Amino acid sequence: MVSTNSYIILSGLLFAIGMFGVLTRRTAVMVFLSVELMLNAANLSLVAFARAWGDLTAQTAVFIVMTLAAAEVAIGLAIIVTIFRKRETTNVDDLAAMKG
Amino acid sequence: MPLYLLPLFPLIGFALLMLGGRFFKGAAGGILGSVAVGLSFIVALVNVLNLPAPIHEVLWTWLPDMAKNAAGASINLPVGFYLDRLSALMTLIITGVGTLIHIYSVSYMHGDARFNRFFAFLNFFVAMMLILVMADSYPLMFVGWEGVGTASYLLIGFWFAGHKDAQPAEGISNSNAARKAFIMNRVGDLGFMLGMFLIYKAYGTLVIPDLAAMGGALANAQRSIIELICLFLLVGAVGKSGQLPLTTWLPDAMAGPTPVSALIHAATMVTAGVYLIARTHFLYDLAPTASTWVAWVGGLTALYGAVSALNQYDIKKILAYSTVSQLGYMFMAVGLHAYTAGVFHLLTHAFFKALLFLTAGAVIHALHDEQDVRNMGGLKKFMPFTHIVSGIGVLAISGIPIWAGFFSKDSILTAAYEQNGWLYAIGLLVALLTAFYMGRWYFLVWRGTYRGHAHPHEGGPVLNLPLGVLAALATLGGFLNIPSFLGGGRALDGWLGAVLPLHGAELSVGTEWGLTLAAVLVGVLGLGLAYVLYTRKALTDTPAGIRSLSVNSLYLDSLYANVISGPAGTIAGALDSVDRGVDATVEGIGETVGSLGRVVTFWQSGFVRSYAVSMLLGTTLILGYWALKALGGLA
Repeated sequence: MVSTNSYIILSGLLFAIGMFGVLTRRTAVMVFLSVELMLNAANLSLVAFARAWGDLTAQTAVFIVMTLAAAEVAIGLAIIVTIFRKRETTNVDDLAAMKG
Repeated sequence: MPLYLLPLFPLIGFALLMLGGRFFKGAAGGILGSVAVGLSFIVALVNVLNLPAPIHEVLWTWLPDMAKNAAGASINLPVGFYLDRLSALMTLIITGVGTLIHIYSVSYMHGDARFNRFFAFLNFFVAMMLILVMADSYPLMFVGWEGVGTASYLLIGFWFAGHKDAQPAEGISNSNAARKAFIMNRVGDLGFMLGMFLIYKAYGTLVIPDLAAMGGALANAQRSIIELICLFLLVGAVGKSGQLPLTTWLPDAMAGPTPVSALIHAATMVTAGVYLIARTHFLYDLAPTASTWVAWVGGLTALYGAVSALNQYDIKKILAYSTVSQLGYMFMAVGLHAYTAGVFHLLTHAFFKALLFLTAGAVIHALHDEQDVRNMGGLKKFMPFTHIVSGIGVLAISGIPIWAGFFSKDSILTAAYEQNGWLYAIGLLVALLTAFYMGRWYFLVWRGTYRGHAHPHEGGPVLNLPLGVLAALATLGGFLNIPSFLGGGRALDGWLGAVLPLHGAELSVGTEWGLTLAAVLVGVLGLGLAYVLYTRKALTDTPAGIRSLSVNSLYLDSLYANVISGPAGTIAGALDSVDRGVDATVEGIGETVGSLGRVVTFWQSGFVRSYAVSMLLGTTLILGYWALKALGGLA
């Protein structure tokens, strides 16, 4: 049986990769993808802990996160498509209209 | 015929020209305007010919329950028209001279970009002037009073974009002249209103025939109140008629087109003050002090206008100051309770001054907008008809026998001789000056050799017809009132006697002859002096001191500029800087808050990824804190 530590380490790695992607990628779609990665890293750790403690509460939380992520994908992609139609770009650095 | 038809026709003309001006091409708008006033003239004539007793026509209730009378019943203020012989004469002058000037304008304003608008304003003026003279109450008269003021404002500033809409700098001075007239009239209007309030307070009614019918009961009010009413009304009259000290707007009003100067600023509107005093004679008869004031205001203004006219070079300015001076004569007459003499002079002055203005307009027209008499001269050769009629005008205003001004000026001087030696002396001096400056005007414009470069030409028949009619009236108008020692019956005095009190006993025939001879003598002397000075030597000037005094019209404008405009400007400047101070404080507070904000705004860079970094750092910090705490590191 794979130890909980391994799951946590994998989860941490995925989270770090996702974080790295969010911070370095300029394309909105890639940023979005990285955010998904981070979400799933969190999911993985939750599931791992649920297994370790034999408690299903965390797993229900994972289901909620997954539904939310699905909804988020639907809305987020729609926003990105709309922005692309308007601006002909999805470079997040160009979308600086809210600069103070 | 119903009286409301009189103002109705010009009002319809005004509405048609104002709303549908674009549908009247060419001279059609002018003809419409002229016909509207012409119809009014016919109505006025019919009414005057059938005027056995004054007509009082109440149209509708204006201000219901304005007050309670002694019996407790409520009094309504009606809108109504009142036509007695005084207002009837005024309606004849307004519509008669008005029609002639409308016809003249059809030619004079030909080709103007706002031709129809001009006639709309003229019709509006005539309607308002008719309301003014026929009003049966002071408030309604005030409506007309303000209406003619508005028309005057609109027409003085008619060329607000410069003459023929071509010279913007001149346009600004034109609209400034219009504003000046409007603002100075406000001072007078305040007097009129205060007078009205006092009349209402003292007698409980503002209806003129009712007041006149009170007769002896009018004297029941306190004498001081009556005097005060009359003085306030005098202030109103002074403003409207351009008398001292509110006179300076009238010469500036010549910025308007010449027909406007003839109709509004010579024949009709400016005489409204004289009319107001004559209309209120029942109170002035009870107010000797106020009447003396009226007479002296008139006398001094007559002198002021005459002195100012001596050295002007603008062909219309000379006539404008002359109007000021002649209005002074009328005030002198009504102030001396010689109301019929004042109204008689008002009538003849309407004829000969309208005539003079219209001939001046014809000259300006012929010389392509040249107004400086130094660039005229010798026009007799080019414009023989206009020369003759303007000569008639000059003879009439100078008081040369058989022409209209002779009779009317003589009756004023006679009244002055009876009552006040000083005023008589002033009047005689003014008569001399009048003849002199009008002679100067005549010789500079018509005699000698032509000094300009235009090619003068006679105006067309439309321009000349009103001139001919007015010349005939200026010649014959005086015969309406031939004094008895010349074998006449004082017909006009008798006719007006039904509404205006006749004062003063007849002087002995010898004295009358003496006064007349003196008046004629100064007239001839003035004209002769002008002849000697301005034909023998082409352009002689009076000594420099007197000249600058006269050219600057006794520095009255400068006085106002220094005493009123200057301090007002200083106060306004001070208030402005206070305002700017307040403004700067508020701006400063805003600026401080703003700059503080700008210090923080760099945080909001607009880069999503830098926000992500911030979140990462923040989360790390919080987690680190908790970790430290959990591990007991902070303990």
